[in-house]
Amino acid sequence: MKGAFRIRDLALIFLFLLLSLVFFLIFRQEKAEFLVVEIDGAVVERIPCAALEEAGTRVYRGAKGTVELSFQDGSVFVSKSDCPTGQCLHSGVIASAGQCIVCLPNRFSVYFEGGDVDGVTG
Amino acid sequence: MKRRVRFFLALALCFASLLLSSCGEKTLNRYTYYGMGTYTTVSVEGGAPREIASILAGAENELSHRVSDSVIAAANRGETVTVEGDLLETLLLCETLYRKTDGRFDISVLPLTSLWNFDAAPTSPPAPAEIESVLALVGFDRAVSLEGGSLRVLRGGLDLGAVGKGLACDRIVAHLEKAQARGLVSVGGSLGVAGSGRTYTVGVRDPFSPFATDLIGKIRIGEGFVSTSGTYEKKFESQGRSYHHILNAESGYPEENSLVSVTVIADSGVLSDALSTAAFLVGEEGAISLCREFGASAIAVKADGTILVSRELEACFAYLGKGTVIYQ
Repeated sequence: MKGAFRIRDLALIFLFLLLSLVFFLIFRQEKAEFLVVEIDGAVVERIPCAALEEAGTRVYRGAKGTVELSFQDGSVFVSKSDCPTGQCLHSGVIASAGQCIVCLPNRFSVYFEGGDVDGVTG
Repeated sequence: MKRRVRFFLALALCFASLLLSSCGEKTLNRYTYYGMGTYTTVSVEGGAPREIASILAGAENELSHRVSDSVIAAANRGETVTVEGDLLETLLLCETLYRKTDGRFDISVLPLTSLWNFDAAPTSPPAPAEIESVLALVGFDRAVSLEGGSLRVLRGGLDLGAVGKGLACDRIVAHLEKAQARGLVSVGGSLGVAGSGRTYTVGVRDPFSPFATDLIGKIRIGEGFVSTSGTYEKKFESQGRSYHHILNAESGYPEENSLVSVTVIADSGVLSDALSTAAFLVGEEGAISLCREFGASAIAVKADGTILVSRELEACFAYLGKGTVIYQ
């Protein structure tokens, strides 16, 4: 076996490749650090997720009126909106990286950065 | 000594792979735009791409029947207009799909969409007599003259709502690729991949959830375009019955079949956008095969929770629901 890889060498390579895979999977699990609030395509606020743990509200002025966001336990939803359609009020609660709520009439959007989904069709 | 060399060689190899795997892909930066009555995001590696807003505005000014000096509005007024390039290709595709769906998919549907007016959040359907009267104005064969690049609307009017977002997505992707940018474009939920060498995870909205943030599955794509038509958008209830916005141009009413949403993956944004509506309108029997005719694949969700999926997607579709998945 002189000059060739031994089983022990191969086992070592396998072990490190396994470790690489573990590192890769760990690093891929992006956790949202910020909630991003945009009006008319411009970022107006980046809120650290840690600040969303306590219950609270924030009000923003959109293109057609105001939008109120409510926070609790790291979750966010639109609690009040002056928009004519009211669709944003029925967009549900977002809590994970990549999730987004849009209020079209107000040109308002709020989303958590990161996540394993790059876009949503529907 | 040689043993030690081998050992350190192996160690170096492993650390190199560790380093490479940890680096991953470049972060995508997300930019938001409003236009065409919808929400557009462009997620690209690097800085904000230029001219996206003007591409959206240009598409709206060309395609919208609501913009008085658009090509489509002029045609709707009875003027003979010249169409070329991707707009001509789009109109020809729509004509083909009109025939393939026996008139159910029809862009000469403006009299009908105006009557239902889903954008105004109606609370009751139009009277049957009203629907009957506007149906006389609808039908690509009777209402539209398209010869060469010459377009004329003979009666009624064109509504490109079924293809507009897809066409805008095509134009933005082409623009990004010309600038050698790489990323993912979403025009109101019609998505397109710009550039190559990177894969993206696209979430498919759960048609059974009232919340736009809930997903029924995920698709991994490295190229192409994805669009979805579903009954959850722009719907209302009246006297215990639900009415959604996907109108059957033959009957004049929202299509009632076993499907609740159709997602299509195709080579162009126009094709995926148009096919998602057309496949929904032909129903579960023909949805997948219609898409296959155009080299596209589909995910059709039935009201009973069963998911029909093109077998071409078997390796890249992850289902998150509890219903039965049937690959065809």
